[in-house]
Amino acid sequence: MNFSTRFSQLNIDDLSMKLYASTSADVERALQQPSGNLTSLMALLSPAAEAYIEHMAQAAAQITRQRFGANLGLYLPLYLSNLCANECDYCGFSMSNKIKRKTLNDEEILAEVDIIKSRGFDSILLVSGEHETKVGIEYFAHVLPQIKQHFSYVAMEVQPLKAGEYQRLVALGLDAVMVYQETYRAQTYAKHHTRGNKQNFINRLDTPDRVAQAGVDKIGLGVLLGLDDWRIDALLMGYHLEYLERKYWRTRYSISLPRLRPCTGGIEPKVLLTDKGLVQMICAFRLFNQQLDISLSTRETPELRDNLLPLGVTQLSAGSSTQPGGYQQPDSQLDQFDISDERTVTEVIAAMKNRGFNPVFKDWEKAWGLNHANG
Amino acid sequence: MITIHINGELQQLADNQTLAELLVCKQVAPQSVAVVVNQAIIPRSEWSQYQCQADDQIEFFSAVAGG
Amino acid sequence: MLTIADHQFESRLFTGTGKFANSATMLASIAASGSELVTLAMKRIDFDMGLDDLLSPLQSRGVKLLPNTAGARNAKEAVFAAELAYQMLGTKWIKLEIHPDPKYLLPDPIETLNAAKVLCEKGFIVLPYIHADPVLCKRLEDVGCAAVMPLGSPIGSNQGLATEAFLKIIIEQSSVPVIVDAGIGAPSQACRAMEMGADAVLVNTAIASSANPILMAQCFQQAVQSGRKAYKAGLGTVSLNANNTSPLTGFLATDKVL
Repeated sequence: MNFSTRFSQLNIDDLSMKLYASTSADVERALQQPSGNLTSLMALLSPAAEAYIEHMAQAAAQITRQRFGANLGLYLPLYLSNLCANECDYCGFSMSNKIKRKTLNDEEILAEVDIIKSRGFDSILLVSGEHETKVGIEYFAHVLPQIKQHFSYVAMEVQPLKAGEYQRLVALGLDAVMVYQETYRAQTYAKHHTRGNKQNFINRLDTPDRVAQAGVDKIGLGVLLGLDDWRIDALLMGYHLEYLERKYWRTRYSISLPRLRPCTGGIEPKVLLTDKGLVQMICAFRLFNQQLDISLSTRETPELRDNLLPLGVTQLSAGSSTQPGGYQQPDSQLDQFDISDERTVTEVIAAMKNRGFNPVFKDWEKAWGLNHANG
Repeated sequence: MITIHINGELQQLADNQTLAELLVCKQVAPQSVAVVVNQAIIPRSEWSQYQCQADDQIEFFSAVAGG
Repeated sequence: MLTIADHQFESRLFTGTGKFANSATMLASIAASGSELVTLAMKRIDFDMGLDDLLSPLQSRGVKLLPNTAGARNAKEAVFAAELAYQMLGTKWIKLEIHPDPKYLLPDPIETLNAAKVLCEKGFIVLPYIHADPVLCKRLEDVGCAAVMPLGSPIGSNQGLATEAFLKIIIEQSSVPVIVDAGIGAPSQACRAMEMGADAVLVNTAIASSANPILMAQCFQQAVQSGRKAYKAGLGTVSLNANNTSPLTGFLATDKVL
């Protein structure tokens, strides 16, 4: 059974109704036993929980400190290609966008890697558009070993692959896979994904199952906040997380909480997520899952990012470029999305230390170099 | 006559006796026992065909109270 | 309603049949407990002792039988015992218990996992009796066990939920029903296990060794029902005082949008 089966059994209208009917008593109960409890997560994501935001923040900060200490992981994205065979109305890489298309060759990758390494990073997120034929498994299998030589932790955020392909990449050193559902509402999903393989909602929904079965160390989930009602999307992501963690219990999990941002030819958010809502969501997930990695990208402003540090965030990027070759030749015209925090990594680290956090570039060593697959 | 072992005790038996006949002779209610011959479980369906052999180690098991 | 494999149970109290003074008391206690699943052991028939017909009164009560593999000291013996139980009782349900240690009867996790794998492959509905070990529970789930039966404390000890912290983790993580087995000595302890979210409890010694087993069986029935209801209702909360200062979220005071 994959997640799509479990998902099809959920009555989303009913969940939605219950979430909006949550009372302060429900929130207080949820605060008593938030861990691993989907009913509690629902209450903590509800409008009723807004009145408890400081209480949630205190609890989330305390749990995060207890589990992760004062450490914050730092990573950078490396954009390999902006080729894309999909049409997604919120993304600058959409195939109909008239932007210059580029896929990095070995030499260009090495040049980017050199810059990223020189800034101290040891954890990298490989990103590409979704172009099955030109930037597919053969390309990834070719570039991964070269990149892996330079980084202790390599994550990927590319199109969904097949089970065997994930196994191949794990054998080549792949540590983590980010596969964001964008939205768990099928109708909204269909509205925003109008061309290409990404239209296959179910295939995407079942991708983390394939990733976990291939024995990847960490799986990242995410929704693009703003496409639909973030409270419901967040709750459904909680269901997804709970399912995966229960079934693939050897795997680690992370979530990303990107808010929809303006991009080339893009759309305005349908449902606004306020800063307060973002704080609520981070705290709710920390209380729900104390070991979860929560990732924060440069989409948010410096002030907000600094304020979010104690609340449950465990890793963040700094000084990111969101276009292929962008570390060598910055050109904001090609970006996948606009960056709000344009500070350099040195500035971000200074701000982190100022607030009592330690930047961690490497927190992981692959145990014994052995791979295992989940059953 | 042959000699067999039933639950560790020696027993004399007429030739060509089947397990089913042996159960009747021992007054064991057949619906709630399992039979093991020489450390192999004999399925219920074979009890009336299996003829006891000399020196067979036959064991009758039944359910008892337990936690 | 509790579902294990494809079988549904109204009652979340499972009972053992051992240690009762006589079978009349045992049967009356099971009736009083409302239990729909009872455990049994197997033994070589002792012809000198005469046969006590245990099964027909249980079967006529309509309870489901759960034979155990008690006496097995390793995986091979346990698999044999399960096959024996299938021949004897016609049920593929088996309480897998392997305890090579005669003193505390503590289960052997390695042999249990090995036996569980073989039995699940053979189509048995396997309910393993084990330590309150969360990783072992996931491993048993992975090989196909229909439920897990972690112990509260050593079997027959009536010490209650000595393993509470680990039971909580098991309950949180499990995809199969969690039945707290062994060591539950008082109705309050059964109630506590149910409040924590256990799917069922298995009680034997505490009922059988009571001065009034039938009355005690009723007490356990009510305790399990109460505990389950309390779990479903959600335990009461310690009230939260409003916080005047907001050191961590004060920056939201002027709420900005995007």
